[in-house]
Amino acid sequence: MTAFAGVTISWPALAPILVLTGAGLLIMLVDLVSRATLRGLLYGIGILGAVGAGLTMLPLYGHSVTTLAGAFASDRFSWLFDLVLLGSLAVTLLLSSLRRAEDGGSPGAYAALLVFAAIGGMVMAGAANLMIIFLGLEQLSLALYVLAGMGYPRAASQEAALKYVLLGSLASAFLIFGSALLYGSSGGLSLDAVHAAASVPSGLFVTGLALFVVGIGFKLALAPFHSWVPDVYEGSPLAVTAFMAVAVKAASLAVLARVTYVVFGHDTSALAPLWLLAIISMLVGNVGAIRQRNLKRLLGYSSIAQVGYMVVGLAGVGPQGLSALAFYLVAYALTTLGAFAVMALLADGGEEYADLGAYPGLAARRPWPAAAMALFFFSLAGIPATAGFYGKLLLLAEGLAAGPWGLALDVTLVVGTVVSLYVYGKIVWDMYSFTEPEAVVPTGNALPSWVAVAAGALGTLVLGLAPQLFAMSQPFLSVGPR
Amino acid sequence: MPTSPWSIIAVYFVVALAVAGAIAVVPGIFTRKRPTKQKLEPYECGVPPTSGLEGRFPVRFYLVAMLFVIFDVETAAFYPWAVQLKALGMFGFLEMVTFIVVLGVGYAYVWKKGGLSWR
Amino acid sequence: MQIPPVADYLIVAAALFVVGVVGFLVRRNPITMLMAIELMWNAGNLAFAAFARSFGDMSGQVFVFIVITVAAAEAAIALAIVVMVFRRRRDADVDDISVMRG
Repeated sequence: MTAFAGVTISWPALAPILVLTGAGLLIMLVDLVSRATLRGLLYGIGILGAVGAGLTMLPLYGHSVTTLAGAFASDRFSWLFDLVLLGSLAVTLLLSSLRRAEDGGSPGAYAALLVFAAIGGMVMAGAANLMIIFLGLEQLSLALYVLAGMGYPRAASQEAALKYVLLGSLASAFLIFGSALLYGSSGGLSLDAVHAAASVPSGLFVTGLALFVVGIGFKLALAPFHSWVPDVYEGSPLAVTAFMAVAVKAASLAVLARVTYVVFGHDTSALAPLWLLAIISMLVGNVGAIRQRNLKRLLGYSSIAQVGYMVVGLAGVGPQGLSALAFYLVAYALTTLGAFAVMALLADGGEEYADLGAYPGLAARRPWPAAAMALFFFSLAGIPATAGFYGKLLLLAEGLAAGPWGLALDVTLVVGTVVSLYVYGKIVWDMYSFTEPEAVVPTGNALPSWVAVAAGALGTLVLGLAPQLFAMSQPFLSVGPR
Repeated sequence: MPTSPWSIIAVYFVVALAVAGAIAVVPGIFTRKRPTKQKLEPYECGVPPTSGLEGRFPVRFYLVAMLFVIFDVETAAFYPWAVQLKALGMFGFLEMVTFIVVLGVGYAYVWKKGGLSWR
Repeated sequence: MQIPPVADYLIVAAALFVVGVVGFLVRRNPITMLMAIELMWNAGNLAFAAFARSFGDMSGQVFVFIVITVAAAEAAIALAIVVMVFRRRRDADVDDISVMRG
């Protein structure tokens, strides 16, 4: 602890972020001094940084510290989100390490930007202050705008970057204006101050909160603010898409959850519009996925629906709800990263293996990747014995306990699941029912991709078969001291 | 009559809008448009235009301007720190050193990668 | 003259924000759209500064400061991306930028 002008700083709470920042700067410096392009070394530093940051997180488990004058919280809640962010960073770096086309020929900038994006996400996960939320969000977003365009030779990547930066900045504008109105209604930037203003909601407060939620909704890609997702997901480099699908969602969900939890406590009646957004997202995401012929687009639509599911966990704001949300987030992260890892494995530095026309008959030629893909799809759809199934059960239980809106959310969740069963089931059926592959047999067999696929598959199975490992019995998550 | 000094500005705003709108709309009602090739050419002091407008100009202008904007705004953080230097003490000083180091790494990166070379 | 009440500033800020939204929606040139977005960011800045002044609280002003810094970085990145797209296709109209459909 360092005290400074009345502000105490808890260095252990900030250590993960500091370690990762050091790793990012080191990548830039190494990239500067080395003549040759040391792709492996640069990505290796990033992965080591993620591991190091993870190690500094270990002693933080179970502790709740609020530091930097209450602006940044390190609690069980942010702990889990940090873990997801670090994991997705490591997997993304693993998947990128073999894909020369992904980083546009500058692996140093690519790896450093990924690391800085992850730091932005970690700042968001612990942010207890409107200004810190904005800072973290922008650090994450600005890095990703560039990363989306780093598959530079492909026109689609340029398009993705342009669309992402335009709509992302629009979202930030809503967030800023919303924050300004919240500040005006509460007289302070901390979420506690906003909480005080929520007890007597003024027009200013309601408008500010609405704009704030629209801004976060854009970043989370809740329908109807999802229009950018399919194009950006399709156009961005494969590994970057994986990072977007997991890290951006995780960090934005952390903000949304903390804001709803701290500002509204257990009274969520004012959040009806948010439930409506979740319902629309579940329907739009699953129905939109039906007609996709590109796996990256399909996973984009799927992620819209998955975020809708996770918002159900907020309906009964409380430790149990957050716990369900967190479990589902971990399941979603494992399966989504795993699915992208399979794509990267099959592609192996060549063309992206995203066209669904290439998947029928895959099981006959590449049984293990096909099996892993099927597992991830089953988990995304929520088939028993996978992590996604148990996550959905937890979310449904939360919805049941949350009154009429919760019931509506539950019904939509079930309907969405049925639709998604068709979407994923069809691909799996095609993979296994055709004996002759229609396209060229993918030869990709790279070790880093195998590591990522195996980790995802293992996690999905373990969480699906033994969910109690996740310590569900007691409220797992607590949002730090109020 | 006016309750606030700002109502005068409101009146001014309305009048300005009305006049500008009238100027924009009224001529359109009374004129007939008969465009010819000469009329549609860009006006270049009476001289026939030599080239189209879509000529490119070098991207290095953008690059330098963008880099300038970033580093210029970042250095704005120095002013409040300098004003409060004494009150912030050693901690504030080290904080700023950290900031400068981070900024310096970025600067070195831009420099070494050729972002500042005028080619 | 007295400083006008915070509501007046808020009206101007809201007007700026709406102008920005409309500009973003009706214009199809990415640079103009970025200008519209800058307008919206600065609408937030104005509201923040006005509130900070009326509360006599510094934190709102610090937020403005942060937004200005971030806006510079954001503008630089956005312009760089626009230039990148320009170099490939000479014109820039978001409706034409559509390799992807669906």
